[in-house]
Amino acid sequence: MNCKGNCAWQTFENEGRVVREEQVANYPQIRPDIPDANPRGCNKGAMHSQSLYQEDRLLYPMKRAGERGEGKWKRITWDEAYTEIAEKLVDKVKDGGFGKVMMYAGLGVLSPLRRAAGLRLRSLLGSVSLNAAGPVGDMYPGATIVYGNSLIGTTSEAWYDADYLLIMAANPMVARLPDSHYINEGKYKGNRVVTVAPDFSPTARASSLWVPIKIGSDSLFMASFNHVILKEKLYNEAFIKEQTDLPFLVKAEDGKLLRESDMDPWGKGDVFYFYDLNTSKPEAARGSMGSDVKTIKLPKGVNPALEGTWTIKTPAGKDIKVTTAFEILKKELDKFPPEKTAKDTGINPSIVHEEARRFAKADKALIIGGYRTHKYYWGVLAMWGQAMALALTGHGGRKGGLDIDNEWNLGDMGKLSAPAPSRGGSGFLGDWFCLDQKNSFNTHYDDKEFKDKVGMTKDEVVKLGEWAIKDGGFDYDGKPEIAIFISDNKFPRSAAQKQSQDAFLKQTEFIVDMNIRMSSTGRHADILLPTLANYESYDLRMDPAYCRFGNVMVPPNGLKQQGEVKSEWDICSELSKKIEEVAKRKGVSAVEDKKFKDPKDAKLPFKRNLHTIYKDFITVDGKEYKTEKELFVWLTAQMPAIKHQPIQKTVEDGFVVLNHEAGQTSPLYPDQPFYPNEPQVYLKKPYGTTSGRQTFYVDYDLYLKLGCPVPTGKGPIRPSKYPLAFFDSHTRHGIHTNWRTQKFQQRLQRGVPYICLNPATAQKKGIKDGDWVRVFNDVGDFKAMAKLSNSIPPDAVWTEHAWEDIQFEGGKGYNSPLAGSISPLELVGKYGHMSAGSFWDGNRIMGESSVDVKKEAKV
Amino acid sequence: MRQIGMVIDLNKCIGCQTCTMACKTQWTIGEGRDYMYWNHVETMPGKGYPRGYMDMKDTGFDAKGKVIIGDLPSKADYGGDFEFNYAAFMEGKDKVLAPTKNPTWGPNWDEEVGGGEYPNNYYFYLPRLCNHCTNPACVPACDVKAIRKRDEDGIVVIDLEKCEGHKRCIKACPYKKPYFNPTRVNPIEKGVGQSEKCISCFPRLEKGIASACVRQCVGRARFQSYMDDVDGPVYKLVKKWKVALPLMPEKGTKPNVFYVPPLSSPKFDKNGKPTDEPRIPLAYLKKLFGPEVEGALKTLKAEIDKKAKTQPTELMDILIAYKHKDMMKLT
Repeated sequence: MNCKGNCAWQTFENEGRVVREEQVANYPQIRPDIPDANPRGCNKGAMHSQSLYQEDRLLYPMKRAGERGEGKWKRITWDEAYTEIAEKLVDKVKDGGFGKVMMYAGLGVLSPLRRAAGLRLRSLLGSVSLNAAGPVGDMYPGATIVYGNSLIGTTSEAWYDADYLLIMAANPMVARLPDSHYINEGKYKGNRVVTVAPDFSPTARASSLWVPIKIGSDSLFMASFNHVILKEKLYNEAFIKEQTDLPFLVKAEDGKLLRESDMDPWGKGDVFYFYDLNTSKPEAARGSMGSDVKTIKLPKGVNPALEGTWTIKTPAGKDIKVTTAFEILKKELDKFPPEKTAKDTGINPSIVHEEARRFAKADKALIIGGYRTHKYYWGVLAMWGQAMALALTGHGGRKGGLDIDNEWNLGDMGKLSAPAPSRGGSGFLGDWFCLDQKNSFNTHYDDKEFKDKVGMTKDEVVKLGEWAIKDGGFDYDGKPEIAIFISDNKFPRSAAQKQSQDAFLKQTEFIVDMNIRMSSTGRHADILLPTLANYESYDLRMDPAYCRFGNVMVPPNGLKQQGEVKSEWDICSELSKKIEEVAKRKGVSAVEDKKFKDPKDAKLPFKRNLHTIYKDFITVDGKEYKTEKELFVWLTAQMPAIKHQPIQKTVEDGFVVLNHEAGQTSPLYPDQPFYPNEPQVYLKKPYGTTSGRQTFYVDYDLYLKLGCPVPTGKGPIRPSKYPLAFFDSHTRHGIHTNWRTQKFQQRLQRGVPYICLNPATAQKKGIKDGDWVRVFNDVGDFKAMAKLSNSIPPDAVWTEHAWEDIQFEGGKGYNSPLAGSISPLELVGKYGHMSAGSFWDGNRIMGESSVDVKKEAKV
Repeated sequence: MRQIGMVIDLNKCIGCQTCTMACKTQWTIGEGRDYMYWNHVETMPGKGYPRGYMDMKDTGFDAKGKVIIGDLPSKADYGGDFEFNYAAFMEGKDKVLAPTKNPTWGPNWDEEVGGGEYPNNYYFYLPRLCNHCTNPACVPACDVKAIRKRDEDGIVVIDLEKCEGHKRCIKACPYKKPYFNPTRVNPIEKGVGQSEKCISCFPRLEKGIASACVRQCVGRARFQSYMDDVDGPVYKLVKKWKVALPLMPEKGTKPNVFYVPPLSSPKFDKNGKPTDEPRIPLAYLKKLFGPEVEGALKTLKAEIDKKAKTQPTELMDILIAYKHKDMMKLT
């Protein structure tokens, strides 16, 4: 269903159609004292058969026959479609304009083979594909700071295994339906489940305690939580000394870490020191990026100081006054007693004290840190603080940790998805610049108020964004002139949706949408290409790693093809063939792509040969693959985590239990819930950070300037000029916009987009349940039905995430009033492990806009 | 007569509607059935589906034990069958993809609304289907004797060879779980319309496969076994541990679907400090599940405490359900 849940369904076919489905529900139990995983599969899956035959399914290639977005189409042949697209592409790239083409595989196609088809063509053609997580605000830089990796998480069995769960900015009872039973079953085992959320969410409802927090103040809550851990000495010194950088020495004069380069002009910048209490001397820490010793194990007899101030002498005789990162942390968090933050978080201090104690005392504690975390301005601080609470209390390895997003090892997928040098691109900055989002940023935030809350001016933030793509190492190729979307629904998710969409449509000459159904993005395309649905495809799903099962997709016997739908592999290979044909006709052959170097001679630019692009496309590992089915065999044979079982049996069973090679941050044991970072905690291997340890001190200039070299707390930045905070969360009736317009899903809601208001707020505005209202501010507006609910705080408007814009009057989607913004804490460039790349990109901010609501007559 | 029984644990129900969808694809798409949800999940407190069914007057039995023919919900009280303008939208005639008529109600209309005031509000999910009652109101209500309980499993079925569509079963049922299908032609009077309802997936049960809503429950909240099977989870939860109770027992129909009542997190005092009081008022739960709910909640808490201390507790082991297959015992 293109969900991260990854569930195996058995489909039932009648007269060539899939008529219904049922979960496979045969997954083996891993241990008698842990509930099994059956059945996996939710309401979207149980109704997917109907989505295949709904009238908004795309069945034929179509060309726009009216204005963009007007919805008038003309059926064309595949050859006509390919020819038009290939002509446009060849013309655009013949002089090296590879970066002007965006080819974007979106979150509507998550299975690796189907996804790879689009990625492969964009790689060969040198087109741009943005990091897919940033534009939706799903990056986890707060975790990357700590672990050097943001793919940190557990299997959901750990939700049962751990005896304390702190859930923040996450709603697993809605967004993790096949996993959530482990939380409820864990409560029957006596686990304590605490959910911190502004709304009485379905997860809050199911928890031992709901902590109703004011919107956007999560980092303040964590600062107070950690304050209590430090004040009441609930921390685990041995763990902190070995696993974290908190014993590292920091220079008093400028707050910079003491580096080998301070001690020795020839010394390294990535070797650091702690103060050994036994020898009363600074000692270089092992395991950092610059260290020759690849372990964080402390040498025998060495005892790093956590507290103290010393004056040390460099070999050159210079005195340097130093203290520890831990001391600085303590001093900073001294400012955040729960009694003091209560006003801003709305949380009674007794809760913070009590829960910090229970958390510290727990045998195994997990923090489920959700995708919502970094959609707030200080999300980095909130997650950084969560990781710190775990580190301070020694919850690492099998004693707990941060559960955000574990991924299994898929083998060498690069062979398939990136056969040539590929144009990546920063997701959040790509949108920020392509969609001119600084306009709505400048409109919505007041200069003075912003500066008071952030510590920087708006202009400084905008300049920082410009610096990031110029000198900060973030990739950006400029505004696209051709966009090919592959199951990506760009418009509904964009901040300042209407303005962003208008900007994109104005600058982009040609838009192709490859999808199973009509989406809000497809509505504005010039060409529509119909793809196969999951039940009609061959593929395998085994990531992300919420469960330990690889599920295969194989069409049921006798399934009839509808219309002229094709697999992504077929479409992309046939398109590459046409590109080759057109290129030959136009005399375009090998075109220089100056962004990359020739692998054989670094002095020369890389050349993309359009005369061989078809062969290059279909050749993998020296063999030609013309169909998705053939490639499926290649795919399943190359994945180390599933090799132990013959593919015939996997197809028969519908799934395969992954072997130990699946684990990336730890081994996957057959009888243990998966916890990350076991190699670091038990084998003392360094973390992927500059310090080699869990990192809680960042001496990057901007962090020092903003007063957050350690995980501190900051309040929300939404402007005060409108009275209500605007926030959203995932729906259980769709997977992002996928299946959102499905009839049967909508019938279980209200059939139209709605917002929720607290009844007291609604009453003041004369709004009743079922009334039509307009949500508005100075960025944009949309119309929706009002639903009154006491689950929503009085100072907010809530809506479900990912409505389709086409469900709204005037195409003004729910993100219309959302101001674009970027957070300075994510605009770090070239600072060790905090450098632009797959683990370090920023997020669209979507929880920091204010709105008002008024009643409106239905037109 | 044997009787099949079901227990739904409201502490494990996550309101995801997978049961609703599983039932719908299996039984009620098209042919006048679109508005029917033989199984649905509603948020409580709430008006439910059909709207206000709990407050409809005169259902169940009178003092003499005679069935009462009560209110018939209006079409608007059901809702939930609205169509969309897909075709007009795909042709560019319509600019907004929307229901062809403005929806005003549906089976899950007040999802997560509930009662109480923020932050002391509360809600929980209540999955509902035909209770296959031991003393069903629909059976005596039917004036053409079209409804019967099957001997082999106690499932209440409507004989479509006999049903003349008088709707008396719908009026009599306190749970409003028979539905009127206006498109069916009844064979007796050749008139239009017959009643249809949940058949507990008896063709599946006959093959030893649990009902679709049970087997497909992803929250692992449902148990199914025969009431006389002392080793079955339903017997144990209902009879032995007494933690699963029928909805509206005062109606006297003796349902065979039972609910494990919901525990809830603490209410806050005026300073936002958690109190000892659960946020779902006991009085409200008593209204739904009768006075025995108090004892059931007490038992649940006591057994959770035992489990937390790693003492043996059969009750928690059943409710945790280490093996999905053990939740359904159909032999």
